Amino acid sequence: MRAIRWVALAIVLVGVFYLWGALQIRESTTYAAVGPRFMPNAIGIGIILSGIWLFAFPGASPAPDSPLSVSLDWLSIGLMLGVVAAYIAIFRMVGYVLATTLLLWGGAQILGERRHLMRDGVIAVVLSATIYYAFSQLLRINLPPGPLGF
Amino acid sequence: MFGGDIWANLVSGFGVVLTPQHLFFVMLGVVIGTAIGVLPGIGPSLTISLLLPVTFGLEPISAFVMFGGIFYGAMYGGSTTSILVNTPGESSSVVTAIDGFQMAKKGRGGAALATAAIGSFFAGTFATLMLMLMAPLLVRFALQFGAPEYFALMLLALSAVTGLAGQSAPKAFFATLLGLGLGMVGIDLQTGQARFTFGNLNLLGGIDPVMVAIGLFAVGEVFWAAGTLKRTFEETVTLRGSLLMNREEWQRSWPAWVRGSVIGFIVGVLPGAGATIASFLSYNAEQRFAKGKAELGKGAIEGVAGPEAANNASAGGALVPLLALGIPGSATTAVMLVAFQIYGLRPGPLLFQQQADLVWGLIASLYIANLALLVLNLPMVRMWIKLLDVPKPMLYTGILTFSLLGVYADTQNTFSMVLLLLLGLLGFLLRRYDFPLAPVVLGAVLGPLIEQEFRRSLAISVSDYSVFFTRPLALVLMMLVMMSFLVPLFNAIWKASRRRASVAAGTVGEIED
Amino acid sequence: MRRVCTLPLMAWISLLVTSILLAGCTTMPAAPVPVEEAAATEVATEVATGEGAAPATAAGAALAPTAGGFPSKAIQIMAPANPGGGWDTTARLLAQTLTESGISPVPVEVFNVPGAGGTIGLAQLVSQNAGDPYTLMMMGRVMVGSILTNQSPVTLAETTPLARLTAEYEIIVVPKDSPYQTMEELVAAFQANPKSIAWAGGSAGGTDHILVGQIAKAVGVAPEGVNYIAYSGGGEAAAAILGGQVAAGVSGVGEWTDFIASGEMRPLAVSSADRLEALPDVPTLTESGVDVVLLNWRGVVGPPNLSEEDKAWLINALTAATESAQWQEILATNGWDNVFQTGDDFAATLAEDNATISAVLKEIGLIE
Repeated sequence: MRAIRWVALAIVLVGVFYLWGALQIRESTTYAAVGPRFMPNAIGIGIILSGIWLFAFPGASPAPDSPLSVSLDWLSIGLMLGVVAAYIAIFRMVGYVLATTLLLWGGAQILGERRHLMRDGVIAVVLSATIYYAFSQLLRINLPPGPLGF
Repeated sequence: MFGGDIWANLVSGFGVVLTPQHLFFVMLGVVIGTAIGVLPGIGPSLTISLLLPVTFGLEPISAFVMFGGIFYGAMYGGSTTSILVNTPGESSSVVTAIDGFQMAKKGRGGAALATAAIGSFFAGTFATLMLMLMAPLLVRFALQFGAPEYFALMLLALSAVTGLAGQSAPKAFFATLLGLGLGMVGIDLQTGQARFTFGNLNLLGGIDPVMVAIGLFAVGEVFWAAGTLKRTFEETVTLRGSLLMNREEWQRSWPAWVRGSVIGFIVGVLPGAGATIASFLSYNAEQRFAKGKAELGKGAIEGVAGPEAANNASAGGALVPLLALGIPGSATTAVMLVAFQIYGLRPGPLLFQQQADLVWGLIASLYIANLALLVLNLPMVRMWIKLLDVPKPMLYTGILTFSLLGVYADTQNTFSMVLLLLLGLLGFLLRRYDFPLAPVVLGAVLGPLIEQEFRRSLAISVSDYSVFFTRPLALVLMMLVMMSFLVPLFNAIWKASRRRASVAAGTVGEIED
Repeated sequence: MRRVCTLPLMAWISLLVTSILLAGCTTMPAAPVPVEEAAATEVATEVATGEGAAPATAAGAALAPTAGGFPSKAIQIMAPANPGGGWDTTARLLAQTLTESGISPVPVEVFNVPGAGGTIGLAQLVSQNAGDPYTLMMMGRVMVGSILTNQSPVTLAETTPLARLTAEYEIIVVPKDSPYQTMEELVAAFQANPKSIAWAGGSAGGTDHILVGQIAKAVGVAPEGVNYIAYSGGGEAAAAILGGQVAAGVSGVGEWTDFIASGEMRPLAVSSADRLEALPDVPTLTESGVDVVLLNWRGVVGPPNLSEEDKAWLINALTAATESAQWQEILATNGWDNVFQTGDDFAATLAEDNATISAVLKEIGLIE
């Protein structure tokens, strides 16, 4: 079976899950011509139908240049996900500048050729310090300062 | 309402604004506005609210001319990253990314940026002119819009998906529903009940469509880049032909600017619609009227010119109910209302009499802000194009960093960063399986609005469904909606039947798969 | 060649930084351009009293820090809503008063944590800022209702109540072309055919909704008959009333003053016990035969576990701010009442309101 048909089945499951979520909504007893469940139910049913539709008509086989035929570098995607997740986890703990430096540097290494370690490091430090100064000190957005105060 | 001679007032307005100090603040506003427009997630409402305390000590007029500059600047700035790197920073520039990015790939990024800049100037000036000449009339028109009219207008905006569908109708259908579904999350305004929050307090506030736009496009793009960057070296052509627009592009752009300006302004005047809806409605109009409509979605300049004019014109339109009635029609004008209150001013009919200098100074400054936008940004096109030469790893990581900063600044909550990451993964998956992304954003913007207006309509009419067809304005809009949905459908059926006929006749080979 | 091209990006970022810097510098007091200075004074007097009183009190009024050295950096007031709403406006006006009248020796700033009737902001204050006197939160009676309807796991009982500041009564209006001239006529139509009266107001479970619920109860209309249309802000509801889309509208008194003055909306009743000074011709609900009085207030709470010393300093600062001429002027312009209450008195009000609102919400079916 073609991958897109599996996607269509997943969509049907998403629709079922959505309908289940809609079932959890409490209808209030005040007057409302149309209650809070109406639209969610309609959307849930629509999602299921769209899944069935896609399953029935998956379209032409992917052309060689379409995103469907690209072979992906799953390792890089996983690493990227890990770096961002780590960033969110340590964001408040270590402070904005340090966390962002690591994100910028790490992200650039994952996306890049792992050649310009020093250059990217310098850019990362300068950029994150600039952002922190501009947004935290001048625009007064609360960014976590971290134990070192920046 | 304005009283007196408009032109004499305007001249005195220019007299107020044309001082070095005020000009400085207009320029400053435009620069800040453009900058925050470029940065994903940091919108004009957040910026103005952040700058409010900074402006305490200023004359009110200085502060307001700066805010005007920020407002218009931000609407324009959003187009830059949409066009060049396919990462819209606000939901109102999502539709620009579709054709803008395709143009950039073909080496016409400069022309796309130019048509956005000139279109923004044209639309902003048009909107300011209309604001000046017709505000009282327009306000009366806007008040004719009740829930059934808004409902029909939102449906009309939703019908833009028929043109965003790409290759596969079921995929576009799913993408739209997914967006509508995301829009349902949070507290239901009409009954106060939580929906799809699964006990998570942070979801009670709902999912901001801006976050959906940034997550799907910008963050999704970063994950896509991580998966592909080292294998496929997709070469974007930096420049082909002239940097700015050529003769044909001019000829195709200006009708789109006009259409976009009119649509954007009207939608802007309506409190409760907004820039995103304006941009999609404009795209919808381009699908019907543009000369290059066959090319839309593959890099037609009208697809950039129209929506970019529309979102700037809507910014001007939103000032109409703000100044004339004291009713804010968007997040940004709501903050501007606070600014008025902080200066002890109350917008509304009385403002024009009591603070004529301020109002006319503001109007004059809007003209100047638009001009400044053009003067500052046209030469900058050359510089923006160079953005494509920034090493991709740094560029994408930078976009990711600013996206995370933007959502955090808006909510002060790390949960919003988690949500952004999840939306990014969703965007990646949708991209992987070739689903169109713009309908998701459109659905997320329109979902809550369509639903609320639908329910309000039926509550006000006490469950009488004829309300959508018995009110003249609603009826007209409903007929436009029908046309929008049915015409492409009939077209498709007609084409399919012809194809079947020709297949039967054996003139065309087997339909693929 | 590639590396050279990063220059424009850097140039743009520095342009951004410079512009923000400039925005910061131009407002610093240390830049005494004569024109600007004159202008600034003009604004100050316009905002304040129009007399010399405000600057005079400003000079000597700064509170000394506590023995523990609080405050030594900027104090932040969280407005648990989007910029532009009532809490945001009140928070900003309070911050402005504390800073400009010189009561606070440190700057007072406002930040927004939007969502869910303030319960998201409340949860953040309680979980992240315990014991931190530098983060306060603006809130109001509406939050008491949101906590109940949203089944928030965090309640106001966990915060440190500091001061109740302003109060606003509610007003009931009809469009100018409405057939209803008095509250009695509106009530009669409401009793005869409840659903035909569409009431426009703020979000479900908020003060406006609660008032309509109380009116319905007082005049004997069952909650199932209340046709309440929620709008997400005073502006949208105002547009619906001005356009004659709904039968009646409910809001805070100050919000629609201009429309009432210009005759675009007809006021039928106010929710105060006695007629309001600003609207002497508008009867109270009680006068109109509807036995309901409702007061909507806003106040400031601190995070849990504040030290007694810091709490006392903050209450002193808020007391001084509300006594300032600038604050009195703000109350007058916005049509707010002064219902100042501090510490334990304020806590008692919170408990009392919690009981009342919870009862009303049960009756109108928003909570179980």
